[in-house]
Amino acid sequence: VKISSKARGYLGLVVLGIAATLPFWLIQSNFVLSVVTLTFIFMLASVGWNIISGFGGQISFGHSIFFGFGAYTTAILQSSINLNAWLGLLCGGLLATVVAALIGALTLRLRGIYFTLSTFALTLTFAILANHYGSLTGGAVGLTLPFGGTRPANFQFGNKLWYYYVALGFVVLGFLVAKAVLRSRLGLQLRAIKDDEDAARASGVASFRIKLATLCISAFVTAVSGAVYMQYVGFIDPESAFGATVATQIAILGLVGGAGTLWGPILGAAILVPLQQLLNSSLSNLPSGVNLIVYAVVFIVILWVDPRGLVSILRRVYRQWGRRSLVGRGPDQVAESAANKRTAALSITGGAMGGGELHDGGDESTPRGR
Amino acid sequence: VGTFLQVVVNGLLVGGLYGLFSSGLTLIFGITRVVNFAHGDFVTLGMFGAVVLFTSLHLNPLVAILPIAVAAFLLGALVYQTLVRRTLTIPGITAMDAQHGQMALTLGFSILVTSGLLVAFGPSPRSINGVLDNTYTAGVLYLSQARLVAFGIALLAFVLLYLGLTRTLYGKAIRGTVDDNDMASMVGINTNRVYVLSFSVGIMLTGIAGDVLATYYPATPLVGQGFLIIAFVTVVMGGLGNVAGAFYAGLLVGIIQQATATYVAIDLQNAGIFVAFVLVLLFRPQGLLGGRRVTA
Repeated sequence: VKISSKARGYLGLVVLGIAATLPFWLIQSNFVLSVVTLTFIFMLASVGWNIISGFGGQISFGHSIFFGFGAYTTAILQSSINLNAWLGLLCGGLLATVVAALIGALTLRLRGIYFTLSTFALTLTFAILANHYGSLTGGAVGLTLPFGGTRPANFQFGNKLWYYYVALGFVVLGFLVAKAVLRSRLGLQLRAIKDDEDAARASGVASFRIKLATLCISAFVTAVSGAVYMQYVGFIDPESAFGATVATQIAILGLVGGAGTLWGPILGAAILVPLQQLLNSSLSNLPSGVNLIVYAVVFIVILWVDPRGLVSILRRVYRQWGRRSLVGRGPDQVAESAANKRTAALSITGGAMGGGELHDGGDESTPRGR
Repeated sequence: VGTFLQVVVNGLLVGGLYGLFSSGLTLIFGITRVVNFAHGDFVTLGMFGAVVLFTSLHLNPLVAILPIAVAAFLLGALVYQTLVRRTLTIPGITAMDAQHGQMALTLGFSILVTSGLLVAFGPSPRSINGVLDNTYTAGVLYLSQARLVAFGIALLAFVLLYLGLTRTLYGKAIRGTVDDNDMASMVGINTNRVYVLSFSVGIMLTGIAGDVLATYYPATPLVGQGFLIIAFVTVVMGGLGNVAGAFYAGLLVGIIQQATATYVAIDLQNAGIFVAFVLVLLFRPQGLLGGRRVTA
């Protein structure tokens, strides 16, 4: 009852095909187009988040730091020295990588929980600083991108459909980066660190350096999403760059979808971002706050059903369904499938060999209750 | 010198409350390993509880401590049993996945509380007027009565917590569970009850801090977010899981915050705390007090 990696690849292509043709059969209004474009942008942010937080188990509640640096860098460079927006995007990514290296150097030597608390505290610090030092960032008023006419070479498109495809293209690139990390030696070492950091170090994994390198890659991907956001929306302020809402949003998309799985952030963003956007607009005649209550209830219910997220839920459903379909087959096949299951549970790297997905809770021991 | 003394005293007085709700957070983390992203919102709930009881029943916030403490305790138990415990009962889940699930679930609860309060009370600040309004002068110092009383209550609550942890059988059970929960359950300690109890006590302390804070600080639905960050910084400075450390660090954080507000810029007051936080991470990640852990 295991999806082969080939089947998974086809599945990915089908999903991509659907996403690429959406504007031709589902998306009929500019509002929906902008909802889906924003979904792709936050999807990319969360795909980046997943690289360090999902694959490496170092949960960040401050990836908005990198998102914000990506957005502000391109905006500031563009409005002050009129730098090309695509180059600005690259600069934003590189600057965010440097910031990530500094934050990582500070926190990744410690246990994961320090990383979580620090990233959350630091992103709000950046919000305060961006508010205070207004000469560079425009302060609380925010920064608006100068409009320079329709020039694709400068990330300015006349047709909004272009932003849709650019954002989708970046999601695909981000996904491929995440997949490459997961399949590489780095990915294996990360998984060892996530499972048991002490054991990984004892077997020669340079855990600090591995985590640091991973954080840099992760920050770069999320920074690109920030730069694309800036180019698409054309406006940024400290709250929408570094604020608690963005900070937690990026993590929530990944956690609800399934941290540590390739498809988790994709699924999480595909469900939660449109939900949020629709609630913001359609329920706006209700008192403010009701939309967030609905949003929170939805993701609490999902996590209540399975704290590991949607991918884990789907996997359980699939397995259940597979088990049921075994009834009525010959005993050999049943025995064989049971044997397969046992080896899957026993092999530490089972998922990695198969298709680049993390272990599906093969560890049957109950948690220590803490 | 007058300003400086005033800064230190103001910082200490507000820091007492920071210390109180931070020791609640560190108690919860130290024992249950839950990173409670809704912690600041329990401060907010305490504040709104005090405001509502005062405006509807004219209940003095100092008297309201009792019902609010009980309500916070029960709410804590409810959150633990419905949200946190759920993550631990999923078959085959790893301890790490459970912890990450708890972060997201408490964050969801936090959004529920802030949005719920926003729907119920609107965004405008609410305060309690006419209670503990006196100001005393001692030499060059101005002392607000509300802040003095708040500090006294924070100190009292903390001392009770400390004695409870170190001198009672419950405290012994809690410390035993932290040391080795398998062993603890073998000698007959109901470890789940220990977790619920610690979580509820941590929330109770936080609710009390909120109630007292409301006597001089206006309540808004979003006010808790700032307190959450302060609590995060404080527990790291005090050493994660170190209850006494969190209280002392709370005092220090209060002073740093006041000093930054006075000498640098008022809107940078929390940035000052974060600079201190980064320095602590760099030089004393085990906390300012080092290895002296009360709960472990």
